[in-house]
Parts: sequence; C-alpha cells; structure tokens
Amino acid sequence: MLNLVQTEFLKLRRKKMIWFMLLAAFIMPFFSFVYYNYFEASGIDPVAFYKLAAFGYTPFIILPFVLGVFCVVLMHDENRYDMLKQLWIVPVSKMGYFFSKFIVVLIYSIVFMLISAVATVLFSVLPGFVAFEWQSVGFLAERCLEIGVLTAFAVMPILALAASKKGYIFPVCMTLLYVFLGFFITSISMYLHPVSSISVIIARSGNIQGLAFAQNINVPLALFCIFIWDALSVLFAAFSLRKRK
Amino acid sequence: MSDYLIETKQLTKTYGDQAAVKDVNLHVKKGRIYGLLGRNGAGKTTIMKMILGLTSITSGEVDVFGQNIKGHEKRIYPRIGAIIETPGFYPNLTGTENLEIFARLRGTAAPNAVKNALKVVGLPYKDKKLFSKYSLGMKQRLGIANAILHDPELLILDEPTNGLDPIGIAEMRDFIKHLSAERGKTILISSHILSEISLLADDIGIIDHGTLLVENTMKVLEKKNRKYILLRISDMPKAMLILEQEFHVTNFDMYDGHTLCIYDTSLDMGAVNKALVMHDVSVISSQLCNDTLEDYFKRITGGEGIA
Amino acid sequence: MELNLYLLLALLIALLVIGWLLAKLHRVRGQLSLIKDALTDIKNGNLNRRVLARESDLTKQICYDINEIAMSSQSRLIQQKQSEQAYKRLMTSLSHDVKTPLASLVGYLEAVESKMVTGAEQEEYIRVAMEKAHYLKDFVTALFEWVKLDAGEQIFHFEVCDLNELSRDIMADWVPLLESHDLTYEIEIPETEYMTRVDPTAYTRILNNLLQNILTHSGARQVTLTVTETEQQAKIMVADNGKGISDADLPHIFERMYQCDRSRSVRGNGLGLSIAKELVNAHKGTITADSIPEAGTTFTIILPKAL
Repeated sequence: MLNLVQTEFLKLRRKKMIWFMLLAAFIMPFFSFVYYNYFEASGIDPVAFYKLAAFGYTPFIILPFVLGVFCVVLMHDENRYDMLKQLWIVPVSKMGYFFSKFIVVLIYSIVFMLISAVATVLFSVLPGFVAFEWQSVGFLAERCLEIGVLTAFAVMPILALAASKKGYIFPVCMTLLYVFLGFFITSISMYLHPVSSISVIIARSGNIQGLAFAQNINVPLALFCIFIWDALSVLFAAFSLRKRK
Repeated sequence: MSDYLIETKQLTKTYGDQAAVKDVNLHVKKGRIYGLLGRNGAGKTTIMKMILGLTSITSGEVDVFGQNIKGHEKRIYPRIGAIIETPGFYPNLTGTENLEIFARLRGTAAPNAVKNALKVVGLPYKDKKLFSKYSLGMKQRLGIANAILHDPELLILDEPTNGLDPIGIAEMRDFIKHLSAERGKTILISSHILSEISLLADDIGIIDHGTLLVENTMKVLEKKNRKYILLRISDMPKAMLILEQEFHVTNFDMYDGHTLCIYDTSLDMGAVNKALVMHDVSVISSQLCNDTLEDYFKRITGGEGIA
Repeated sequence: MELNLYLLLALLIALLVIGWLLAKLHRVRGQLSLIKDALTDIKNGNLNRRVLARESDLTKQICYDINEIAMSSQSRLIQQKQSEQAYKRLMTSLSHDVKTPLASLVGYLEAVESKMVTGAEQEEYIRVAMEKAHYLKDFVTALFEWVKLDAGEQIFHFEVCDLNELSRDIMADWVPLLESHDLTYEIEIPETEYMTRVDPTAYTRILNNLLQNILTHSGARQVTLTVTETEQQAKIMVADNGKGISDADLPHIFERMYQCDRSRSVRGNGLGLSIAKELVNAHKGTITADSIPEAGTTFTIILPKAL
C-alpha cells in the first residue's frame, strides 16, 4: 500500500496545476484581510476572523471543488491513455488502486487546509487585527486538520465517479453540481450532504459563533451521513473498475 | 505441469449475439514463439485480453502456467510481460520515470533493470524527453521495455511492430528471436502480416472471424510453401542420371533412398515418367506441390486471405 | 487531562509503528513464500523463473542472487543446446548436400560400368562424374573450413601489411579468370600505402569468395572493386550488375547453407558468404550487402584499422 501511494506521488511530477490549486488556500484569508481592513478593525475576536477566513467558504465551496478537480486530475491520465490494463497485470488490485488515490487526496486536502491555517494566522496577526495567542492558533490548526481529513472523505464520491469515466468534463461538471448541491441542500437538512455535515462537526460544542444552523447539532448523525456516502462510492468504484477492466 | 504455458479450452467471447471469439483451443508450448495470425478484427486482441484476464470470458477456460489466473494474480502476473494494443504511459513523465514507476510497483529481477531494459530496446536512459513527445515507434519501444522489465518467462505481444518503420520492424524481429533463442523465453505474438509471422514463429495459429482455423508448427506449414515435384522411384542413381542427361535438370534433392524432390516445376512430368519407365525405373508416385503459404491461407479462410 | 492526551498520542504512534512492522512482516512472509515457490520451480528445471524484489525489500539481495544463478545456468544450458543444434544441422546438411551429388555420381559411374553408354557419350559421362566428384571435394573442404571457423578453432596469423598491395595482388590473379568469363572489370585501389593488421590468407579468402559468388550466381557482365580508406577504417566494395538478390533473401544470404534461388541451375555450396562473414568478423569488421533486383548487388566490407 505504501508502495502504491509512493508511486502515486511519482505520477504527479510536472503537474503544475496541482500547485496552482494550492493558491486557492489564500483566497479566503486574503478576503477576510480586505474585509477587516475596510472596517479598520483591530482587537477583534480571533474566532470571528477565523470563521470568515478558514471555516466559511473554504470548507464549504473552495476546498471541495479544488479536491474534486484534483481527483479528476489523478484519475484522468490513466483513463485517457488506457493505462489501467497495464496496471492490472502488474498486478495492482482494483481497491488498492482506488484507496491509494484516496490517500493522496487526503494528504493533499490536509496540506491545503494547513496552508489555509497559516495564511489565516498571517493575515490576522501581521496587520494587527488580532493578538497572537497559542490557544486560538491551536484551535484553528486543530479544526483545519479536521476539515482537511473530513473533506477528503466528503469528495470520495467524486473520486469514484472520476474512476469510472474516461473524459474529464463530466466529472468536473458533477463536482460543481455536487458542491452547489451541498450548499443548497443545507436549508432542507444538514445531514443529507457530506459537505454540510462537515460544518456541523466543525461547529460542534458551539465555540464558533455565527455559523447558523437550521437543525440541532448532532455529530454522530453527521459522521453517519459521510460514512453512508463513502460506502456507496466505494461500492460504485469497485463495481465500475471491475466492469471497465 | 503440462508443456503448455498457455492453454485455452473452448474459449468463447460473445458481445450480445455476436461471437467475437468462438471455441478457441490455443496451445502455446514452452520456449517457443507462437504466432497468432489473422486480419484486424479477427479476434486476436480479444483472445490475448482473455488470456491476461483483462476482459471477461463468456465460456471456456484459460490456463497460464497450468493455473487459472483468477485467484492466482499475485503469482502469475509477475511471470508475464505483455503489451496489448498500443501501450499508454504517463505523458507528463519521461520514459525512464515511467519505467521506474512500473519497476517500483512490480519489483525487478536484478539491479539496474530500468537502465538495461531501455538499453535493450535502444532508448536513452535518464533522457529529458517526456513521453508525450515520443514518436509512435518510441512509444512502442517503451512498451516492449516495460514488458521485459521484470525478465518474465512469458511474453504476450499484441502487434508489437505496429507503427515501426521497416528498420524498426527488422530490429524488433531480431530482438524477439533473440529473446526466444538466447534467453529461452516463451512468446505469444500476434500480427496481421503473414511474412512477419512466418519469419518469426515456431508455431502458428490462424484466426479468422473469431475461430482458430489451423494450429500447427511452422515447419509443417513451410513444406507447403515450396514448389516442387515429389517423385517416388525404384532406382535413385539411374533416375538422377536420366533427369540430368535428358531433361537437363540438376536442381533436386534426395529425401531418402526412394524419394526425389525436384525444384523445377516447369518440367513435363508426362515425359519424365515415360523416360524413367523406358529405362526400367518404375515410378511409384509423382506429385506436384505448387502451393504458397498465401495460397494455402487463402484456401483455408475461404478465399478471403489473411492480411 | 493533559497527560491523557499525551498518552493517547503515544498510543496512537505505537499502534502506527506496530502496524507498519506487521505490514513489513507480512511482506517478508509473502516474499519468502514466493522465493520458496520459485526455488522449487528452478529445481525442477525452469531456469527462466525469476523472483521479483522491490527496492525497499529486505529480501532484495537474496532475490537478485537467485535470479543471477538461474540466469547464468540458463545461458550455459542454452549455449549447450545451440551447439548441439548446430551439430545436428551440420549432420543434416552433410547428408543432404553430400548424399544427392554422391547418388548422382554413382548413377553416372554405373551407367558407364554397365556399358549403357559408349564412345563419346561415355567420355562425356566420365567427365560429368569427374565434375561431380570435384564439386564434392570442394564442398567438403569448404564445410570443414566453416566448421573450424564456427567452432572458433581456426588460427589466424595477423600481420601488419599494406592492404592496397594485397588487394592488388589478389585482383591480379582474378583478372585472367574474369576475362575468360567475358566479364568487364573496374578496379579502383589507391596508390598509397595503407598499413593495417590483417591475416592475408583470410583476406584473400574473403575477396575470393565474394568474387566467386559473383561468377557463379549473379550472371553479371561487370564487376567493380573499390577500396577507400580513412584514418579509422578501410572500406572495400565489391559490386556487380547481375540479377541481384530479392528483399526476402537479402537478410539471410550470410547464413550457412542459405541458397537464394530454389530453382537455381547452378549449384554452389552455400558456404562462401558465411565463411566470408566469419572471416570478416575475425577482423572485427563488418560485411553488408545491398541489392537492387535485376540491377546488381554491392557487398561492402569495413575493416577497422589496427596496428
């Protein structure tokens, strides 16, 4: 398994796209900086800044979309250039293949959120909006890690879809649809879509004020939602990889 | 274990009502080059894919190394090297990096395997050129390098000369011959070009519309490729004398004490028979063999020919 | 609370390490069972079997060593088989190429002895029988020469001499013969001295064989010999304007016993060119042939300059 993951990283050599996508981690911290700069604020509650910079649009839209595109990039070459049959006769097991890709997504997701956390701290402390305290930074880092891990699980359906299709346009469109669906379905129920379930988990015990929810916070239910989606996507991936050969 | 490295039994593959491959019984013997000959679309690639377990089998059985691949993947695949169709590689990596990925996944039989494999197929090691910039010939070579990277016992090569120029084709032919003769590899190779197979293969299977029409050794088939007259006579030296003196034929070989093979087919056999009998040489049988491999294949495929 | 967290963290790390070690153990066990299988296979005579190892495997060196042992005994075995086969081929060609003319020779002699022919015809028969006997003698001589070369038993006497002078001497002997066969000739040899290390006897034999080949097979009207030299190598080109060699035959002409035209009227011994090739190889040179059917053939010998 370790071997498979290592080769996955080797395969990403010279793919500039994945480095550019990491820049998206700076978007929300930067906008928060612009926003608070506009009000010339200082000494604000760190969590309020973090909410906007790291817990808002980043986990809800930007990260899922970036990860979705990353999944498609991971799967595309092998599908497009008909390499899978060369891998199967190595042999690489179909599930080993799928999960090694997933681990790469997981690592990428964590790196993305850590960069986001660092950027948030920089954009809040350097302009003097908030004072630097270990406690709040620790809280930020811990929650960013959680977001990173959970979002990787949340985009597993996209990874499964990308594994089953030859082209990249359809999976990318589905990524967009998936992300916006997560956004809109929240008003009906938080526990239908993995992405909205993540924000439930992040906002647990109510220490991030201002994240408004329609329902009560129920962490096990949110985890269960993610689990159901992932189980279904693993089944789907297993089925489609077996069928495609 | 039997002598067959690959054996298929009543192998069949249907798409809907259409049979792509029908009741194929293939026998690839150890240490030999087996040529699978047939037109494009005759079912060669499908057979190879079924052997490798890359496509489902409708009915029948495939044994590789005397075992069914299913359930023994980890034991069998490392002993096979294959190229199926034109092999794809990662376009953003160089040839060396591509092979290093496969070497890492599969493991190698010796240190410096990547370097050696590239050297053998005539590609530079640690070259900066990306795979996406490779010509078709180079891609094909890299495919071969990948197939031999782990020094497998059995090679399954689907149209390996596809996209190569005439020099490349000759090189590939020599290379495949070398693998068989000097390294003892067993090779299953497919092609739609008769001359290519007839120059390479020890055994040959002819596939047409998904059916294996003939499976035989090249030696047997080659005998059909010559034009000659086979004469069985009672007195060999005398017959030779008559042929030389009266018909001015010198181009013949003696098979055994009573069989003479004359390579001049324009000879008037009536006159020869008569002259021989006149000189007390009894002619037991005379037979004109005037067939080429092409003619032969045309006949067995029902007039359509092979390529 | 703080302490618990650290303990939990430590437990997690410990679990990870244990997991990693277990994975490693699992891998080694898998490898060991593969090695066991492969060794059984190798013991049973399948010297093609390899054990694959990854860069990170603990068993890497063992696997590589097993492979190396299998590979070297394999190549020894193949060499042995090849020399056996060469011997077999020699025996069959001996029986074929000697038996046929011998039987025919017997036919002529029997005819003479049994008084089947008389007078001038009898003389003629004896002449033909004589010719056949000479052919046989030449053939056997050539065959022994070839066998000696093939087995590497030929001893060469290399000496530094003037290649141009040597070539001129050889051609001087050939001129009368060419003239008597109504062949025009063009000889271009530089006037300068070109000192290099050759075996004069072998070099003479090479040119003789090429020219003899032209005389017996090509049906040419003109022969051209061109010698050009550079600091590194000498290039000797022997060209004719005869009937040429077909593309199908060209790759094989240096093979022993290969005779292009099955319906040829003249019987050569099929050894001249392969002897020439062996001799050129002994000089670390190369010999190649280019031909345009119906327009002629050019043989090119390249000998590296050595002192």
